[in-house]
Amino acid sequence: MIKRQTVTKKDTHRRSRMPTRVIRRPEEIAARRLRTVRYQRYAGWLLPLCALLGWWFATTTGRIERFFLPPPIDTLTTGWQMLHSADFWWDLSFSALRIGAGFILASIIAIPCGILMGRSRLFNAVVEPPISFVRFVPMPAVIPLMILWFGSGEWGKIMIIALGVFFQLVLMIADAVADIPEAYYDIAHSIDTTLWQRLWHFTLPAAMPEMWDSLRINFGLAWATLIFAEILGATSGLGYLIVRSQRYLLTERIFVAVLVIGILGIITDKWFAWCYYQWFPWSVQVQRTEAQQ
Amino acid sequence: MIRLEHVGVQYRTSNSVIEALKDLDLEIGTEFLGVVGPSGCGKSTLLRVLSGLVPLTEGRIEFKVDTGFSYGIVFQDYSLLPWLTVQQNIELGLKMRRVPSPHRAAVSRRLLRQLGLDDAGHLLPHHLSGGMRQRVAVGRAFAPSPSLLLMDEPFGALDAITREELQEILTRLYESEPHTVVFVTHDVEEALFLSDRICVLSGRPARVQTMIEVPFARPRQQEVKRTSMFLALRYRIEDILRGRKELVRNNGRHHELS
Repeated sequence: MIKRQTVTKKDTHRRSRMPTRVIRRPEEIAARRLRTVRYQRYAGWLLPLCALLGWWFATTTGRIERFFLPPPIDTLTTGWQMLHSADFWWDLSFSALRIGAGFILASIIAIPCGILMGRSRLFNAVVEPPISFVRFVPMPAVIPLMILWFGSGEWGKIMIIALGVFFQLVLMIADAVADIPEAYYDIAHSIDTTLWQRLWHFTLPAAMPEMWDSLRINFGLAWATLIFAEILGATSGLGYLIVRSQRYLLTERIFVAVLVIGILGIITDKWFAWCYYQWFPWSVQVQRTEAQQ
Repeated sequence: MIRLEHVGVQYRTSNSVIEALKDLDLEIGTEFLGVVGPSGCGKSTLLRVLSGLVPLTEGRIEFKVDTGFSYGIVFQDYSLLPWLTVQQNIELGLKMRRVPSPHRAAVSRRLLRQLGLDDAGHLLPHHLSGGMRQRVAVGRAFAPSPSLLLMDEPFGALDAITREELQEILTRLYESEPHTVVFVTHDVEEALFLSDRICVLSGRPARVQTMIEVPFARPRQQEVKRTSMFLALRYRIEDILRGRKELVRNNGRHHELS
């Protein structure tokens, strides 16, 4: 029942101007809240399509020089040709190997170090300030230094990626470990566990989902560092491909390289997300219920 | 047998010292001890003291147990490890003690049956309702048969019907294998139904105000809650708690009450 207000003289004046108020019924509200937008699945293609159209339009008018902005069709055919050339795959596999090695190296050191930081206040107090300092030094600024120290060979590039990722990663992993609810350790102590049991059966599984997320986020950073390193000093790799193409004004090839990097980024990101859902279904659910509360 | 002598606990915050427990004397045998008290009086601190998670600042605790001392703990929340299945959760304590797996499976199978969770062994905790989750938590704490079981308002977040169901399951479990149980609750009815003795704590800092023997025979049924004796005891405890609350609220003007 909706209680009607008594209408006083003042109110009538005000009411006459107000639009009629529509009271929505609960089921309508629920329907609105739960409604999914039609074509939501394809919504992500909207902006890229617009960009493509804009690109195409800008190049067909012929007002822009080819080497500034090559037409999409040319880019596509160049891309197709490159896919059939050994050089491209050579560059791609070099980049992939470097990023894989660098990232794995960073993770191998960052995970134990982050766990120690998350669990030991003393260790955290010792290493956190210097790590935070280094974290704010942009990687490109020290790449020349790295090349000086580790050489311009493969090790140099792997170290650049590893160091670029490490400082961000280790802090995020420390956070993930520090976020574990204390109640899990209350349980652990109640059943008289050893230090290793607590690490293996409590800390690691409890922090795993968030650690995996940190890896996923920092893999993007690894890509950025890789390309930087390859642009500044390399004779192979996707970054070198970009430098080479720029030198010969083969702008299509730069576009292809950028597209390939973007697509590879999306693929690895989706893979990380897919693994998360496969391996940590419980965490997906826990987050959902926490969001509801 | 556990004896607490003049136990005191103080928390230090940045600018003050909070006395959670003071001069607390208590003796706990192989029994179900209910602990009730006004909210925020330090009931949970008492449990944490017994589990050794909080250090004493005064007094001492004496444990006299035949075999090695061990304890199980159940909270209102976070009492299960969400990445383990129901069965793995129940077997957790045994696994950490390196009990061989066939023996573990036998224990968990028996407990699952007693808890009414026969078909739920392979599920993850997030698939379960709140009531089922707390049942598993009780099973997890019981499985290694600890010398002391600590329960911190384990049924506090459940609805009345589910709560009664769990009280009954816990009673059956306790009656089938008596342990030393310390059960903290703010629900007087729950404490009376479950306990052999009830320890009524006073407001902060918590001291033992009254010990009440609960005379009902075991095995206990829900019907006991409707007897006049039960109601009389319930009102008595509630009066004690309420009286104390009034005193706390009026802060030094208690004479106005009497």
